[in-house]
Amino acid sequence: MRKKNTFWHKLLLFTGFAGPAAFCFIMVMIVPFFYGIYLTLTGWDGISAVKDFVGLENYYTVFTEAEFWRSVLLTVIYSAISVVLVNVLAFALAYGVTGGGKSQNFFRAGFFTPNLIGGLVLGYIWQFIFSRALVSVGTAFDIEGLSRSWLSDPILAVAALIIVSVWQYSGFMMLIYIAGLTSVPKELIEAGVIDGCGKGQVLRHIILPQMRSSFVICLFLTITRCFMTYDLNLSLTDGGPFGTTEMAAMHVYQQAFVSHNYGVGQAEAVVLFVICAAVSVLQVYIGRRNEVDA
Amino acid sequence: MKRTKRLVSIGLTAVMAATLAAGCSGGKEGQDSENDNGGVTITLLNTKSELVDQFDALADEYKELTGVNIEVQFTSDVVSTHLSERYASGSPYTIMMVDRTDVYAFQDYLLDLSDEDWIADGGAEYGVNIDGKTYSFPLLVEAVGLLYNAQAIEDITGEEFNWTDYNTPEKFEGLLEELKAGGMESPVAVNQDDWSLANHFFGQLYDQQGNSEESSQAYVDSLKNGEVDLTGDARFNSLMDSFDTLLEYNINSADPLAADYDMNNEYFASGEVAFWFNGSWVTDVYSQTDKIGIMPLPQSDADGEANDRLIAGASKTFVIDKEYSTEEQQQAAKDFLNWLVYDEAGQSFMVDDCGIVPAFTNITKEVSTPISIAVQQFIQDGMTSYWYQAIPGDHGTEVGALLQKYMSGNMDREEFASAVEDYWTAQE
Repeated sequence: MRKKNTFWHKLLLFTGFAGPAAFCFIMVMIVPFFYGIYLTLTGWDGISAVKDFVGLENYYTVFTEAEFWRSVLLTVIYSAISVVLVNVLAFALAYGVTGGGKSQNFFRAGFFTPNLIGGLVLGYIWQFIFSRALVSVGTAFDIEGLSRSWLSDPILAVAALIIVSVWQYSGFMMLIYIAGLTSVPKELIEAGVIDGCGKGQVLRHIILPQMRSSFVICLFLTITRCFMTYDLNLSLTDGGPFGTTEMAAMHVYQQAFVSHNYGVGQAEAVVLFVICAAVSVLQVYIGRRNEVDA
Repeated sequence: MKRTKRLVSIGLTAVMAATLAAGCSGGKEGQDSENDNGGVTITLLNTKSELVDQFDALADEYKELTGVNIEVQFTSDVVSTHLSERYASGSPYTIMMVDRTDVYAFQDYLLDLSDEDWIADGGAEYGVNIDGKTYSFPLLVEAVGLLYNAQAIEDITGEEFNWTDYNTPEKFEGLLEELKAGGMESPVAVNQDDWSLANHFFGQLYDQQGNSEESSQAYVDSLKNGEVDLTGDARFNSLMDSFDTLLEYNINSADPLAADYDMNNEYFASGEVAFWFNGSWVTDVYSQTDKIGIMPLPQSDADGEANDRLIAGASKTFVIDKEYSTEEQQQAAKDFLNWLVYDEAGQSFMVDDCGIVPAFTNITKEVSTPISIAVQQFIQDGMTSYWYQAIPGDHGTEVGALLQKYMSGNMDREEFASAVEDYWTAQE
């Protein structure tokens, strides 16, 4: 019998256990990623069999295209507002359903449910609510702000997107916060109460600092999700009214598949990836650093 | 003992790895094995939402008659967008229902159909020809125009409605006023869908340029070269004037962008509105009355008989993929197209079931739905006008967004004109 610690033995062991997963990961993530980067260097239209090499021209186009940066700016604004609202609401909900109330399991399930509905379906449902249901209510009761569809107004349409995202994501983030809340050591809270802390003081000085890692995870998840929003954008507003709510991911899709500038679209996707990765890494880095300090 | 255990575990992991790998790549083989029981399986992409049920029924019927499986799929996406996705993933359909401009874009992947029998019976005339070869099978002839509900009009005016009496802007507006006075507060439904606004309504600008492919193409080329000043263009202003009229009497005028296609369909069918700018593909409007027809949009600039000739042409067209389909699939697809043209059942499917006006001269079947009858009348009278369909794929979304901006009052005509000029000059 051979020795256990030979190189070949380890290799076999590794390929046996991690091989299949690594193979699939490489094929569906790594290869397409680098192939995508290669495509940004071509003038491909997304259809033809020839992919002529154009160098960095596509990136130049991306940096000079006002429409793309407008959509990125909109994405940043949308994400900033959504991220804050989602996390505030999610934490509030989590705090509310861990207090030990009678039907808190029911409420937990209820708040989580929106997350189980796919983004597309959700978008169509809310489209109906905004452009039909609310308008009917608005006209029936003569409410100024509801008599026209929110989706026909460039600013209110963004507000609608934010409302739906908050509604969708806060339930999921709530779950993470619940896990964070329940793992705060009871003895710390008890000690605080014995020392005369009020409820607010317990929350501010004991619970919040203890939950820093939950916040880091939730912020990371919401930021990346909001930056890459596509399904909701498509089904709720479809970029409308008149193209004003076209966010970055949707713009990339339009550029690549509708205007048939695949190379430019792919280059935009890469730029978007870099922005998104930079923001997320920065956020996690700051979050972690403070964690050590605290 | 230990040794066997290890062997078993290694064996198991190997099996697992193999199944995983097979799972990743197994799609195509699975399809092939299905072919063995029964005939060939071909896939067909339907892009007309009003024909979804008909095509599903057709697949069953065709399977029974010939043993060939047709898997019908439907998409409501922009066709060129959908197809470039499918081709990018290497899984297009055998037969694809596309718009004419897609045939040019996807030409490299399409089968040359020039040797088919139906070429001589109208296929060459209505199909898309590139460099002397025919690549597409014209499924139907369609028309774009103003749909009218004659019953709803006659209920108010009390006299028989004949569209030729109202084919100038003055007479048309007079009728709208009369309808309004008679209790129909907003006699027009205007869509807000970008394809309808940009490609059909605004597309009339490119269509009505001398009634031929060359003259329309020449006009579009001059737009691309920036040689057209739209604000001073008679055809443009005439079209926009008529657009303003429709918007003034629009049932959705309180919030034009909240218009819903299905609601408009319902308003029109029930006679709540009398006019709806759309096209002959509308089929679901006969619940209340059959007195429904289609007419050219009344415009002040009647150059080229714009108010008498109906814009019509072969629109949706079938193409066959040659890159990813097997020989048998291609042959089965060709046979299917032949069946449509030359078999009684195929003809019946097109004319009776789908209510479409066929492009083939050998088909003598009379269409039965009122709008199609109206279109056929225009064709028989020789009173159709050329329909320019070689617009770029993003014309719908880009120009559509501009029109939405215009119709919701966020842009005036001059801004709109210069934005459209910019759109065209940016095209290559």
